[in-house]
Amino acid sequence: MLTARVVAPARGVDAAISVEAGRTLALLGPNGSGKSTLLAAIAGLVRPESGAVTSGTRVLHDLDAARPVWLSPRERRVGLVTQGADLFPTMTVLDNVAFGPRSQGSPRADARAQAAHWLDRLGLSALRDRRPALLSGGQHRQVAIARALASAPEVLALDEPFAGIDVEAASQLRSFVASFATDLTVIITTHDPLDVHLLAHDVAVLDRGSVMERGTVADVLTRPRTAFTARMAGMLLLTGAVGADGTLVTDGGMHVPSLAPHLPEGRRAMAALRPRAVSLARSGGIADVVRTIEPRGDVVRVHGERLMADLDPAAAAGLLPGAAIAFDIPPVAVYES
Amino acid sequence: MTGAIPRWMIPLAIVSSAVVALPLLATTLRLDWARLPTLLTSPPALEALSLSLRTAALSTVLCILLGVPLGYALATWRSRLRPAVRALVLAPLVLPPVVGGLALLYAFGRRGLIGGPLADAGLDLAFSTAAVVLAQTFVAMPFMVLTVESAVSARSGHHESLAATLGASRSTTLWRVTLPALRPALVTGTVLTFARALGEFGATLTFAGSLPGVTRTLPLEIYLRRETDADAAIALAILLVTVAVVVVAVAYRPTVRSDR
Repeated sequence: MLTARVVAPARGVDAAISVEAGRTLALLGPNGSGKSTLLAAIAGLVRPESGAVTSGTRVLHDLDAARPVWLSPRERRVGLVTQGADLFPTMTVLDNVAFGPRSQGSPRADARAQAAHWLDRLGLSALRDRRPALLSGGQHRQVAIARALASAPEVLALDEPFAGIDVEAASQLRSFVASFATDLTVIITTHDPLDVHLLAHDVAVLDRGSVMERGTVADVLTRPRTAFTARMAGMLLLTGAVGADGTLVTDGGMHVPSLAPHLPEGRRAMAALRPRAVSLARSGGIADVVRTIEPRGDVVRVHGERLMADLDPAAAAGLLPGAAIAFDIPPVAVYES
Repeated sequence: MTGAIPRWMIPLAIVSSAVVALPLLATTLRLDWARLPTLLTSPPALEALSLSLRTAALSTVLCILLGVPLGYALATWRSRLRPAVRALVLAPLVLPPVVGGLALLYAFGRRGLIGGPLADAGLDLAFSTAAVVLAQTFVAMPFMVLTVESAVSARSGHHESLAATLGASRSTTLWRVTLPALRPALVTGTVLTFARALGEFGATLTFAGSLPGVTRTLPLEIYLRRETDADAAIALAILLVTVAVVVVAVAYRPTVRSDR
């Protein structure tokens, strides 16, 4: 298990996270939320003001102790892959992957054999004699991950591994990561809830350097407790009190039907709404006024003053900002706040 | 960078190359082609050429061994003293070589700061071939230091950081990651250093003197011959220029991209 508390005021970070051995933790947050700083501090590349990081029984650093402990990056066994050009441009793919074992004392032939083994295991053998300059973005990232794995880390930290490469390569890389992440302690930073659902067991949501929420992916992303987390998960958070029939009566006065089981009347509660589930009401519904209309791929997101909905372009035809409309909400899970 | 340059720069570029090329051309025109073989193969000429090549090569090696760590240190050293140290180290660039030679005498001469005790211990540097190498190293070192410093400064340190997470020590990282990436700069620095050492005259004459076969390098031989046999001086000058131009042309490539 890895636990980390990182306090770096200069970078606006004050966060604590932990991940059980063998599990994958996603750090979900927008750009500038301190995800990269957190990883760099765990890897020992950034020295925070205070805080401590332990991996299993090993103290990687403890800056709060009377005699501060600070292990150098090479002693930490934290493998790091960033979204930059990580590979050493002067070496072939094979030598890049062999670099870790070689640096840790394996003889050259041994290190190369280990590297070849890793490339083979990850299906990258065809690239072994290439120079990094001749790799695609996705291949570069895969080899960088293979290199980190070959250095036998206790924890693998992947900083936005799917950023800056094309969609197809990213999707290939996702299954690549999923294939080895099962028996390794992994921390992945991302701004995309899809990555969290596909790859992680646990998630910590970061906003401006602080952890807003943490827990299992199912808990946090389907029952968010802050508007920020709901937004990161692509949902809209409604808060209010439970009314008759378990209905959530929001603080804004909307009546949101609830799935069973119902909470006792009068309890403070919340519900997270997927814009995809919301539709235009033919009659009745929740009255709203259109604020903006945003094309999103094959749907149109209609932002109202109170709610939002992802509609078919045909259904959204003719809607203009300022138009009066009404939304229908299906029954949703209402949970205690 | 590629692309068209503004048109008004073209005449200036031509003038600029003419400023350099015309004197060389004028020298070549004065060359006595018929006597060239005998002039170039005369024993004093060969002796001076051989001494020049040996001393310049040796001082280049010294500049690599000493200048690379200094350039590296200057680039990574975070201190307010850094500009002062850099200015001091690069002083030989602006110092008249004769002054450099005098400075070397005060430091390493028979009665010099370090030369005195060394002489007492039986190690006499002044007016020896070692003094030639020392003078050349003195004037050529800034070229290596500058080249290495700017190349190291241009690096983000990203690869060095990652090398550390992979378990590499600082030395391993230096030898396997940083230095290979600096190769183009090292080649440039080596060429510039060698060329400067080969042409060194003032400091050598002041500090090492002009003993045939011991300290009389090609530039010194050219200067002395000019009085007695101008044709010989020109022939040797052409030889010196040829060596320098060939070395630069073969080894020097402006560093555009280093990762292929």
